[in-house]
Amino acid sequence: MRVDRELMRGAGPVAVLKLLESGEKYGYELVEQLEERSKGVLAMGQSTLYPMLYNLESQGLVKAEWRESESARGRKYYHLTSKGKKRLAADLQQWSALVEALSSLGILPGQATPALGGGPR
Amino acid sequence: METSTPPLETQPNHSNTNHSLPAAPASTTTWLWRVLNAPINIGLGSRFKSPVTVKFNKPATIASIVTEAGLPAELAAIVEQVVRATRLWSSERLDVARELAAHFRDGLECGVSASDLQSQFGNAATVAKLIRRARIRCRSVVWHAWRYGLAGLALLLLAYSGLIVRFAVSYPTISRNFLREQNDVVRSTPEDQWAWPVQRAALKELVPYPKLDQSQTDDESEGWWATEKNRVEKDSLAWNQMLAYVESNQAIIEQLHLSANKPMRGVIYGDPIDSPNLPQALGEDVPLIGVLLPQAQSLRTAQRLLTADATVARSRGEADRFTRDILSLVNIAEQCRGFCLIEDLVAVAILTSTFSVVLDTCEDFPSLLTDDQLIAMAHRLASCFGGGTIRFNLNGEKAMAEDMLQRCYSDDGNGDGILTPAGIKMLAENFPTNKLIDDYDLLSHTKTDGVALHVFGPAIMLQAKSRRQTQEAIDQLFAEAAQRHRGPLHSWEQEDQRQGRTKQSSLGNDNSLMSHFSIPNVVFPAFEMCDKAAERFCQLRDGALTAIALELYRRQHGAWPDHLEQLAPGYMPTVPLDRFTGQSLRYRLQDGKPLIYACGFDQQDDGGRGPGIDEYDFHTQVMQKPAKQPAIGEGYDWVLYPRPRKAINR
Repeated sequence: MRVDRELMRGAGPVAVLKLLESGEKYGYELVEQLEERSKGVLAMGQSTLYPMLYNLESQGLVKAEWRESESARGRKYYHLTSKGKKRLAADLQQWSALVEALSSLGILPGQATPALGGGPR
Repeated sequence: METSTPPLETQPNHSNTNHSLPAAPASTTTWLWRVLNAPINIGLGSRFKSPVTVKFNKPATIASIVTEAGLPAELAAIVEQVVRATRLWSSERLDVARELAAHFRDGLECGVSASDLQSQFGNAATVAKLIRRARIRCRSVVWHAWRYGLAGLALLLLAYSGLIVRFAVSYPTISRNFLREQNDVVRSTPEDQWAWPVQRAALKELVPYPKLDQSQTDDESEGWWATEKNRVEKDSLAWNQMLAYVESNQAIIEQLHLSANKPMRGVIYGDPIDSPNLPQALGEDVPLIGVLLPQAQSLRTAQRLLTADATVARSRGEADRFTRDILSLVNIAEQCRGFCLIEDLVAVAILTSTFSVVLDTCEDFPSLLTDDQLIAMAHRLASCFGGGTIRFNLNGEKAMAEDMLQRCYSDDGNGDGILTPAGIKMLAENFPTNKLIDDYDLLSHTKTDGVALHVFGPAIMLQAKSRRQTQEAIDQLFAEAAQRHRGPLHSWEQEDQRQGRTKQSSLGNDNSLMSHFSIPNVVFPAFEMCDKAAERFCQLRDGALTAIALELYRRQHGAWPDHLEQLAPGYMPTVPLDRFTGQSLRYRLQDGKPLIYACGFDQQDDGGRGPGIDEYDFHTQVMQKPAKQPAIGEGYDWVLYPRPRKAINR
């Protein structure tokens, strides 16, 4: 299943920042991990990933650096900046609150529909 | 965000700072390439080996990057297509190309087929657009500032271009011919009642006054007998010269008497006979401000001739001739009053000179006139310009301002409009230049039809008041002018304070650049100075009337009165005011002769001590309030009778 573009616009950057939290990564690596770890839900092609990375870079959330890979080829590695770490922490809080709110409404699977008030408990 | 340059090919034996590109194919190797890549040893002699080797690399290209990555043709094409479509800076494109090439290389190494990578990539144009947008965001703040600055400048230029077009196609709409309106009033009267054609014809025959000697300037010789400061001594060379001149021009003097009795002035403004320099093709369609008033200057010449004739007449005891000259002078002065303020000022100058002759006659020839002649003369002098407190006519000045308004501004049909190119030229031509304008050298530019007018013009147009605003300013200022200083001079300060008015209008004193493109500033007279000139005239007139009344009193009582109150109401309705203090005119006997004076602006009675004739300057000594220079004006009075004069006896 693929996520709607509008939802991806909000979730994509957080997902990329989260992946970079564990260490620097290059573009293809990010594509692979996003697909693998989200079971294809957050999979994104180059058309989405690279512009997103450049946007994050322009906001100072990530920093890019060309370095040599094990195969002696040049790769551009991205890593989180301190500003990016703060943003990630803030975004995670917001997403948690959002998930909680959606769960409380019974939107997320496995959650009971809560009484919104006025009904028997 | 900084992005370091990729080490596309590492050269193990060289420094880490030395990034190099793939070796150029032999076919592309040029002599320049070899020179640029030749190692340069910064040698310090054979004993030392330089630790630094500088090597210039051949600039990378998208093609070289793709070739070096060894991508299949379809993927290489995608990279080239996307990168070129981004239209980014060269360095940015190379960076994107390297990253995409690396991406595809990674995909291939992970076992993904080229076709799968191609299908996963998405639409190249969309990718290029998104990448371009994102990379531009990565550019420096300075670049963004420069970009928005340029965009702003472009917008400004676009807007200003619009203004230039609007300015260039704006034209004034002349809907009212003020000149013709004035002339039609004159034309509606019979020509045989017009004075000016007679005066013009007579004065045309007048030869210039001969010089006394070579040391005299033209002005001195012309005004020798007629200036207020001089008393030409009888039988002197100057006297005989004046006598001969008067006698040889009796025919002209007779014509002047004839014209003085005409009921109408009969001046047609812009008449080609009077103004041969005006463009005749325009007829009466000329700006009011450009109309010459040659009759005003000519009537000053007539005044000098009649004054000289009166001087000769009184010396010979010819009372009728003297009286006739004085009455003609008063009539001509009243004829001179017309539509324009300058004509009023000339009229006042003629009368001021006439009053001086009367005052001198009372002093030097007290028995010249009979009682009836004195009384008749007093009545005529008292009634000139309507009598009482005199103020100048400003209708002509207002018409001049409104005429200029319609010739400078466009008309949108609702009473509003903008300053036009023709308007800017007209204002620039009519405003007296000063240092500020000379420094800008703007007027000389805007006077022409050149590019400068159309470049500066819209900016001036934007800054200048609109037609409606200017009309409102004209209406307001003239309404204020008509209301101000209605009373004698001593009441002005209280009046100004009561009405919260500053003493001097800022008009005329404003030297800012835009003031030169303001119609009120160009056209408006210095009201304060006009009012002062009128007050001077009133005070001088009252002094002359008092001197006549004193002479009549002396004849009846055989002695001078002790105080002026004895003159009213038998010899004059009321005792005239000292217009500086609001009290009665000052009077005392000095060496058995009467002395009449006003206190002057310092309002202090200094016993009738006037400044010596050589230091006598009316405006600084009498009319200016001694604020900055306490020495001037203080300690002096304005002596009205006997007048201070300098004897001319050579």
